[in-house]
Amino acid sequence: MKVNLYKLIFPVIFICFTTGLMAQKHTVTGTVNDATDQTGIPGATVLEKGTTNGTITDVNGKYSLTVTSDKDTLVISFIGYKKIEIPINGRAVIDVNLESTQTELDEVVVIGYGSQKKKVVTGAIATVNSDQIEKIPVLRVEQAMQGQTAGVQVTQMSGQPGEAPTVRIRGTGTTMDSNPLYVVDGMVVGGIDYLNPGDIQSIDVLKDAASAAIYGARAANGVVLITTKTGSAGKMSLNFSTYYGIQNVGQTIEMMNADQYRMLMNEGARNANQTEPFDLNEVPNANTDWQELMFTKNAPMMNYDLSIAGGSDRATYASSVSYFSQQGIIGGEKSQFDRLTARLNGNVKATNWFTFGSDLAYSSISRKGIASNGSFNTAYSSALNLDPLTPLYETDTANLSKPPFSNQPVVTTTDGKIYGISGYYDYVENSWKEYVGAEVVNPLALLEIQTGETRVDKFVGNIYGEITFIEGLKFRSSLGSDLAYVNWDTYTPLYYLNGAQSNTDLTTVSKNMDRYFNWQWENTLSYSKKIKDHNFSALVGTSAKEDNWENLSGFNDDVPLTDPDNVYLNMATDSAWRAYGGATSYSLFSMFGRITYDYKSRYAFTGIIRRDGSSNFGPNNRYGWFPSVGVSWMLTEENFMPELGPVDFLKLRASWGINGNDRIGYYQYVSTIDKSRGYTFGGGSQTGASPGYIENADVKWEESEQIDIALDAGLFSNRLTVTVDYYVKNTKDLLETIEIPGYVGNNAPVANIGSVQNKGVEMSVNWRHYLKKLHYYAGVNAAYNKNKMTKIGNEQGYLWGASWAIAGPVERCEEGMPIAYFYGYKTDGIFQNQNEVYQHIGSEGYQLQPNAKPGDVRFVDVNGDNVISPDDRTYIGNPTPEWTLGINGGVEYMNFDLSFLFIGAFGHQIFNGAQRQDLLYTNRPVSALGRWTGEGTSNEIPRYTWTDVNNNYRVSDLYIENGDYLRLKNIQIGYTLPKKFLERIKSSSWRFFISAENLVTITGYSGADPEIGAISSLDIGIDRGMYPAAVTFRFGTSISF
Amino acid sequence: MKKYILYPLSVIVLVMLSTGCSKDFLDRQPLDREVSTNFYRTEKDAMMALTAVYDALGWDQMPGVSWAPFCAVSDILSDDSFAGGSDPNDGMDENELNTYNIPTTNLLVKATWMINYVGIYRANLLMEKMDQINMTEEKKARMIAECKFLRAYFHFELVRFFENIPLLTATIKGPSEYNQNQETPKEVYDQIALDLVEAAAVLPTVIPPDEGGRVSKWAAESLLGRVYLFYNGVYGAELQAGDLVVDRAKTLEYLEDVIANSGHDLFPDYTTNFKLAGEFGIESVFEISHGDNPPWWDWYYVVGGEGNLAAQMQGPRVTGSSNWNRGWSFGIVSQKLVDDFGDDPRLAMTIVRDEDLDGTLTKGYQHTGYFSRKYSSDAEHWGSDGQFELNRTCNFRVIRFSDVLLMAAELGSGNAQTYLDRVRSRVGLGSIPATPDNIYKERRLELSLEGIRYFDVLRKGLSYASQEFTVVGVRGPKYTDDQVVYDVTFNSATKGFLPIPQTEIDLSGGVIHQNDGY
Repeated sequence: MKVNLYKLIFPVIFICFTTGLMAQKHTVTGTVNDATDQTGIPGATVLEKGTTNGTITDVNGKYSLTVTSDKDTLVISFIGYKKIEIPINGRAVIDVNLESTQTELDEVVVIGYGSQKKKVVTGAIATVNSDQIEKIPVLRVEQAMQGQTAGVQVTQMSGQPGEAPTVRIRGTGTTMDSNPLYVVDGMVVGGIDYLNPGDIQSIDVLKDAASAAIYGARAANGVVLITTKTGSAGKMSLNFSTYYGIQNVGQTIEMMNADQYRMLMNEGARNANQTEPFDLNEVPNANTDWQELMFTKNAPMMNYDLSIAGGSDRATYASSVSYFSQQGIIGGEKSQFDRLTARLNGNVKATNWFTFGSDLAYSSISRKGIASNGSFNTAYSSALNLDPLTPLYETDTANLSKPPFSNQPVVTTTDGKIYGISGYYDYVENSWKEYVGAEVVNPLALLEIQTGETRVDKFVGNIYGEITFIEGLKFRSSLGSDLAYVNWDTYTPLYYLNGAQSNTDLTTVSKNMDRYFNWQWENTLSYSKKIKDHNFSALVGTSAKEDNWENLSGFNDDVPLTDPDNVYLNMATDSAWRAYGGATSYSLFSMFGRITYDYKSRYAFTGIIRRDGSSNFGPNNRYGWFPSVGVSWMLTEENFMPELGPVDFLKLRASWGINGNDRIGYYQYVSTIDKSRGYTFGGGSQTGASPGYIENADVKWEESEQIDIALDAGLFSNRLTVTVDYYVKNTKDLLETIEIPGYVGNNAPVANIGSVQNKGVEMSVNWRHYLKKLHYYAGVNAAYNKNKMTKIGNEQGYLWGASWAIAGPVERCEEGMPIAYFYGYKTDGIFQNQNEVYQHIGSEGYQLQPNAKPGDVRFVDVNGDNVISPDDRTYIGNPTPEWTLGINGGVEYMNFDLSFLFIGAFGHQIFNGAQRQDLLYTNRPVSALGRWTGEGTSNEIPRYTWTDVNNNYRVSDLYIENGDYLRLKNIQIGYTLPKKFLERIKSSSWRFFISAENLVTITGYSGADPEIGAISSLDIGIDRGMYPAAVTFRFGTSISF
Repeated sequence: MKKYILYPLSVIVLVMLSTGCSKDFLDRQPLDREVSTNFYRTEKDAMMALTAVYDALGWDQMPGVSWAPFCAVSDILSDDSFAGGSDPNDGMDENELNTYNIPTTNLLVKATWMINYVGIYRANLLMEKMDQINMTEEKKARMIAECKFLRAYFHFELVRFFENIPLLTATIKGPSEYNQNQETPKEVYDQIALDLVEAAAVLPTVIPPDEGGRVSKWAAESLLGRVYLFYNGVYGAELQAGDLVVDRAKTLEYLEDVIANSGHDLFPDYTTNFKLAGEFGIESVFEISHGDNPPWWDWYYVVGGEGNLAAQMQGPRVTGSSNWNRGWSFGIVSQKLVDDFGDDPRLAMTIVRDEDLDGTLTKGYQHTGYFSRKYSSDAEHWGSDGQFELNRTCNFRVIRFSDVLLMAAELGSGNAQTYLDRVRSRVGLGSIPATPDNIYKERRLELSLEGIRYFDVLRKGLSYASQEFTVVGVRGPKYTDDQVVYDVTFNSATKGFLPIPQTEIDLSGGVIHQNDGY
């Protein structure tokens, strides 16, 4: 045992030791290099031919071997390279170039419960590997996929640190949860914010149904397989990388200044026959630029990542610790994300038939956030709507001696400055008169009272054992768990922001604790066999999974202190204790099988079947079958194919499969008992109970059927690779609440009634070329997706989507239309004169807008019923991009490297709802000055009036803007220190870089940021004054030993 | 070699996993809630389910639809009240009722429809689950009788408002049953009569104080009287409760039973009926409770609270008073009702006039100078906690003993004169002959602003309804708006029934038909 352990841990030392002992006649030294890029190959084997005398190269590719005679021959080999034999011929120094046998087709792709050579992959799988991730250091792992692969659309939700971006694989596939399934090292996890991007070896996205079918009832929105780094045999390597960045707002919106504002308000009053509120001859008491004040300058972000990896031929390990911290550009540390991670991955080949290992990861996350895209009570929305006359701090002592300053808990800074409140003191009525009110408040004061923090402690671990019975026959059992504690707390101080936004009564503290515990146990038996040119493999397996959640929260009032970071329930002195708690449990049991076959890699076949049973469904529909098949044909391997000039290979793929989606909520098949049905009898209040809704025991998974037809090609010695995929994905049985008659007497059940189609084309073209000292590459990926609701099963034929401000729904979902399209009135310019108002008539000759005045908006009587009514609302835009684009490229020359990534989205619109048109006195962008002021002045922007009898600002196409954008997501310049220098400090690599994110955005959109994620499947592309993404500059370095 | 032992073992593990444990493993029930499949077991469950039926009685609002307290809806439809509200836009749906110009999409109509079917569903559900509940047969029988009473009450509300309704004596189980036919009024009324007769046979005669609000034998018998009077008045027919014909004599028999044996009596003071002190009191034959427990805040789920929303709606818009607070001035009282009172002492006990109010009064739409005093925002009925609009505490008296006396008198009781005299002498009025006209007029004044007037008029025939409900040119001294907003013309084409809510027709697959006149 001792010997085994010794061998296990110190193989390298052992080899060095033994070679050192054998003092021999001739010593050869040299470097083994990669022929293409002239970098050293670590771990290559150098053998004296015909003997067992040999060594392996160090991290720099260097070796030293003492051989019996200077007439001997060296045999140099490494996996993935052509073996080479070199006679020594008396030389003492022999440098060797190994040529790679690898082409893109030999790359290994992770496919779920195994891996496969790309050559014989029959499905649509996109891979992002660690090289790509390292080039663009990302904050969250999802971002590593952004712009890298066609058909995987990653869109930031907002610029808030740590906020999960929207990820859509081949379009939005359901009206419910459209997020893909994330599988990390085989373990299905709820989210991937706990991962350190530096730990990622590869991300493989299973896009088509055939690939995803191995995940059955959870795969309908695509599957993202994440593999973390493992060690490899050889000397321990140590890597330390860090960066520091500063972030600033990129684009702000030019708002009116105090003079422009007062002028426009006077005009609004005049047009409403009201008294002008401002005397323009007076000097305004403030001219505040709220955006300038609100955005944090040079908000910092930093990352430290230390990792070690290594191992022997018996055991390998990879371990890391990392710390990441980012402050937001709004609210500074009120909008902050901190993440600490630690990971240990290890694999041990205990005997030649038994292997075991584990992946253990711990993460601690702290997240402080502010509302990022809302019409109400968000700082940025306030900054875009608050008048410039309000000072940041109220300093006028006359005002300060009056209400509300004198009698309300107005908000102050820590050093006692008092935040300004919109309005003025009216000495006639002896009261504060607000200009802007409602939810529009001093944004800095709003941030000042912001409290609340979410802390997550998460432990994800996975252990496995694998037995090899005979060659090719393996049994593997793995047990994983995902344990997370999530705490969030808030403290509401006393505050008075304006007449509508205040808490003047009692302070409140709340604490909430969630415990998530998920486990998964999987067993697979696999067999692979090669008979001549026929390759077979078969896999059968089972998977059992359980997810548990439990929650406890408590509230109380009246906390006698104001340090918001240090508030606990016990401090509260009120007797109004409230506590809530709940729990859910979910389980899944599955069986699956996969067969692959290929003949000389020329013809390949994959067949998968999975049977899932999910506790989300009742006994009527608990189990589902999810089959798929895929075939591929390497045309260029056929003898009858003529030489096709520069074409190296040509491969056709086709696949079909059915996936499911069981993420429809728990226990939908049974009605829960609602106990808020009380009644007061003579003896007092009694609890009543009845079912919350009519039950539908037949509820089942959503089902997505997809075909994929594709072409892969390599040209010019595989420097150019091309992939084109065409797919049609029909998702049916979408779960919706159906409309039922009122006489049923209870709330409606949910039923599987809707369907949606996504079809599209994905293309990616990549060029990669190594010259002597120059390596350059470029890639373009583009995806076109057409999304259409094909069925809404309810009686009314549509579903309402997202709402905006107080205007009600602005999106809806309807048969034949894209999911969640913009819905509102169509306009036809501005009435230039009274005559045009008279002439705007319906077919029956009646005036359509008799109350309109010149300068008001002309609405279209879409349905021709001779009135402008809500029935005239119609399609006014599509928030979902039809085209998404990623362009990346780079150059490496000598020790310098440069890389860039553009992302873009096209063919969609944005609802620009950042302005609160429903409120008086709100500030407007300078563009609002282009309003109609007389005949011929504007045909787009209506007159400004305080009595909007024509309802000019109802939801219409006036809010709709082209959402196309192309954004330089990342550009980076790196410098790697020269080898000669590195050798002196025993470093294998040391690189410095500077990078910029979001440096350039080309768009016609007038808001702050066109990259707007989907809040849900039915809330897409609405800018409610969204927290914009930062422009970030980073400087970093990475050193390896 | 160990691995050859492991080989069959691993296969066994796979096979075992794939067959054995999966069924139980996947069969999960919610951990923090009960579900329809494991509830309805114990007596406590049954009591909660019964409470849920009573809960629907107190629903003055339909979540997601509209506020629609029964007495406000009914009185606005009658000649006793106008729509009111702060301005013409505030109570557009109320005004549609007020002017008999009711679109099929009117939200108060829809709410009235839905609330009562919620009650029917819950009553039917409990009766269906009764077999599986572990409880004495005696208790089961009482609960079933209560369910039948409540089901009859809800059906009666529906059929007298809508005439042509689906009759539901069982819950609707699934999509195949969603399209229900409208039954003929006769079918519905006969079922109501049957439910009440059966309930009366079982319901207790004495309700202990801590069960106040649960229905008694007397409530069932009295409600049958109200049902008979309306049905017989409108359709001229007798009720058929199973084998039992419930005709005038039989109905009277029930009412005489209540008068003779129930122990119910009149309060010495008329106003006690609308005071906290009178709740579940001797004069209350059937009463719907309201209260402020639990104190309620949630405007999005108003029915989670227990407040009397009619009181909020009908209260005057007064601020700065310690006697009244911040009502919404709906259901504002008409000059016609005030005129009909003449010098009757009950006028001052029934209405509040502008000059009776302290604090600052904001006059709303259709201001007449009169508000209901019976269900209003008076200080005695302020909730002690919660959002004040949602926590008004006045119970709604559905059937008072004086109503029973007058019904018995109207049906030709041998004691008609005594009964009429009892009602009048309580408020200090002298005897008048117990003629049908006098009895009917007594009902008008004794029971005004209690949601009874509209149906009392309808059962006298359409020409009478037209004569009473069409009020044009009447103007009180405190009327503030243009005369046109007070002028109301009854629409006989609808026979006084409300339209079937449009959504019900749209969702019925062509089975539900709209009422005449809409």
